[in-house]
Amino acid sequence: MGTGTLLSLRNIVKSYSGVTVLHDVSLDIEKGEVHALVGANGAGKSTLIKTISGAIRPNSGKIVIEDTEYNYMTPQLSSSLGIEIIYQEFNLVPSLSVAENIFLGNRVDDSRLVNFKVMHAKADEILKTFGLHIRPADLVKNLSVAYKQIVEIAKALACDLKLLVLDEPTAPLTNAEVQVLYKIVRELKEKGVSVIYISHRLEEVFELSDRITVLRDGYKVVTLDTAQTNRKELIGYMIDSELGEEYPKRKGTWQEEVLLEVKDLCGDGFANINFKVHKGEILGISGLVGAKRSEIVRTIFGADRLQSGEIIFEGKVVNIQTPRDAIDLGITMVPEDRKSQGVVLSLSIGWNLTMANLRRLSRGLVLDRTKEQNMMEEYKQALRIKMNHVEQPVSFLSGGNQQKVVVSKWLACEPKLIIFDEPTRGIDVGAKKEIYHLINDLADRGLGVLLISSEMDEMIGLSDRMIVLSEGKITGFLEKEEFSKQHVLDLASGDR
Amino acid sequence: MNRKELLEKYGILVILAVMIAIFGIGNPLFLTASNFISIVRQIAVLAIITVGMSFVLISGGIDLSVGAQLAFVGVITATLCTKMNVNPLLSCVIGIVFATGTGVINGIFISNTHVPPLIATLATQQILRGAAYIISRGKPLYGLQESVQFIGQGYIGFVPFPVIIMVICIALGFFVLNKTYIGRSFYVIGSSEEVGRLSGIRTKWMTTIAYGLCGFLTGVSAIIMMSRINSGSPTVANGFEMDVLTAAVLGGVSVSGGEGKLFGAMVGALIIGVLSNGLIIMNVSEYYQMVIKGIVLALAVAFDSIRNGKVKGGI
Repeated sequence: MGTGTLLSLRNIVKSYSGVTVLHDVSLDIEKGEVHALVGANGAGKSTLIKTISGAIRPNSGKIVIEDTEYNYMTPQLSSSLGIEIIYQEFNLVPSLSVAENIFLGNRVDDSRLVNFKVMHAKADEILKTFGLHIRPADLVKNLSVAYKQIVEIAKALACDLKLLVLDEPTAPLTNAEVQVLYKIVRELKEKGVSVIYISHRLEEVFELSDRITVLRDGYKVVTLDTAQTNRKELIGYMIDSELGEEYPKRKGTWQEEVLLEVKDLCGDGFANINFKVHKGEILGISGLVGAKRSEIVRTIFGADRLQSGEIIFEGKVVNIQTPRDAIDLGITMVPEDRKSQGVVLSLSIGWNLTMANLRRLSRGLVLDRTKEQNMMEEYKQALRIKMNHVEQPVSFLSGGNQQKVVVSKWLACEPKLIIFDEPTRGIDVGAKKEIYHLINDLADRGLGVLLISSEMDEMIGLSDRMIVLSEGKITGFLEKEEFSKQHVLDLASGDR
Repeated sequence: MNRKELLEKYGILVILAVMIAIFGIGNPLFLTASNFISIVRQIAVLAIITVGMSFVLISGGIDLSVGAQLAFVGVITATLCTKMNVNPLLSCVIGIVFATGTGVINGIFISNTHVPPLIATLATQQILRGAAYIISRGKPLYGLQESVQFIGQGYIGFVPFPVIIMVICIALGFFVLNKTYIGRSFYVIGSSEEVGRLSGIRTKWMTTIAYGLCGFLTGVSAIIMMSRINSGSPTVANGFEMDVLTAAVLGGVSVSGGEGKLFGAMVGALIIGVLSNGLIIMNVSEYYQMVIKGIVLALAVAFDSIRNGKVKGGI
């Protein structure tokens, strides 16, 4: 660790139209430390980061950077002080090259014209420090997500970087790519750069950080030395009550009757997929990023085009061309990306809940408002969605509650098979637990469940059986007794 | 409700009231009952098409061909009933069918090719305007029968007949938008086509219905317009889509889709009507009127964008 404090937040308060989202938060970031920021959704992490970046101005409190006191930051000011934030959504120009992106807004030499030779050389120098083979002339749009992230970090390094903030950096990365990121973070630390690391994944936090600050409901709960705490204690600070067993056991088990069978399914990037889902079964589909898990379930749901193969549902060969066809059969899907596929953020909670049922709620063309109102009430209570009223836009809800809206929407269709694609991504610990119970409950009621999750623990904890994919092909079938992380990873990475 | 919401909801009524006050002080003739009836009569065409445009905007599109549709349908209908001896009312029906067809084609084209609606309907605009000139040989077609003249010029009691048609169309628009699942689907696909599709909404159908309804309502307006100017003219309603857009956006219908109420859009149409009428009464030249309306459109769209930007940049 370096010497002294780089940044201090003192008594930061921020409220939006009467709702206080940060209560008197104080925080010190030492030079050269990796400081993890954890907390459930809505804990105030993003707001705190925005205060540092200058995206928002706090109502009161001080920001002290290297002994200079500020009332608020502006994006220009924070940038000139060497603070860079890498958000989950990248800030790159896809049609420009890697080098051009790295030096976007900065001159590489004193010339008024762009000297590409110098630019490429300088970019190469930065990229080499990561030990990576990215060519400066490559277009950003052709890079994988992980490499785009690295270009973002390289862009930050092109300036005089003092503090790097990483907001859920590993969410889109494969395991191998995560290792690269770890390496980069450690190298930055060596150079004396401070890092604020925000992640839902606690193992990463323990792996990387020197200290951990826990936020809850806009309050700072505690700052801990990573070496002197453990996962259980940390979770204890993050939630009000300690969680019991992380993955609830199912009461029942699956039935003999086959609900869904796919034969030789071929589509976008995958081929010859065969599997069966029984009634009351939770079938996990494991694989790394690029294994085409989502593509397979999207094809079953009619969202992507089926190239060849058969889908047999309840003993009959079915022809699913569109999501509508699937919904009519009783197949629904909680999609991977909540914000762009699951909910319409700007529309009300109520409208989102009944969105997939408009035809069923109508007599002829006319929507039956009473029926609709009843459906809204029923599901908002069934899933305990925390809200003021159903007319609020979904964007007002936390991630976990938004996800509950998506799940409710699909349960309202009374499905026989429900597909969960990353059902707990980006939601808090408490909401996760509720989703786990719900998935078990649905299976116990005799529904078939197809489950995809990038969190290995979740797959192992919830699935009854599991198929493992690698690059669009099935590489393994596992019964519950055979589940182990090692085993799944072996199969998923295609090494045998 | 806080002050901001109040302003958003009723601000437009305040603008309307202020305008009426200004014109009323400027020229007392403005505030007479007969002038008011004349304003409502004048905006019938605008209001009806604004209903259709609202459908399209809310479902995430835009239709720039409505002005050209007005001319095209007028010319077709006039040709049928003056030159080809088709029954006048049947001619009107055929005209409306043509307009509906144009809308449907717009919808099918846009939903299947994903050409930006702005460009697609700009092309339609060009095609229809050209077709109107070809069919009419560039000259207005006169000699409409009395039964047709009644549609745009007649009165029932003291109420102009176009106003009655307008009220029916607004009621129809309100019903579709607020009472049917089609209207709801417009809001959904206008906010996020992908979420709509994944929720089992037939998005291509809904897009086509939105443009089709817009075409239908434009067809109805075209008949009123033709009847009022007593001819089928290829030059009529040049740039009219701008008035329609301004009315809708002034009324809070968002150009980025998924948002807006018919009530607001109708107040927007009324504002445009009051503005045109007031400027004429105060002897402002037509050229200045264009400039003023352009500025109003720019301001309305700017306000809409800023408001949307704020929503996205929120918590």
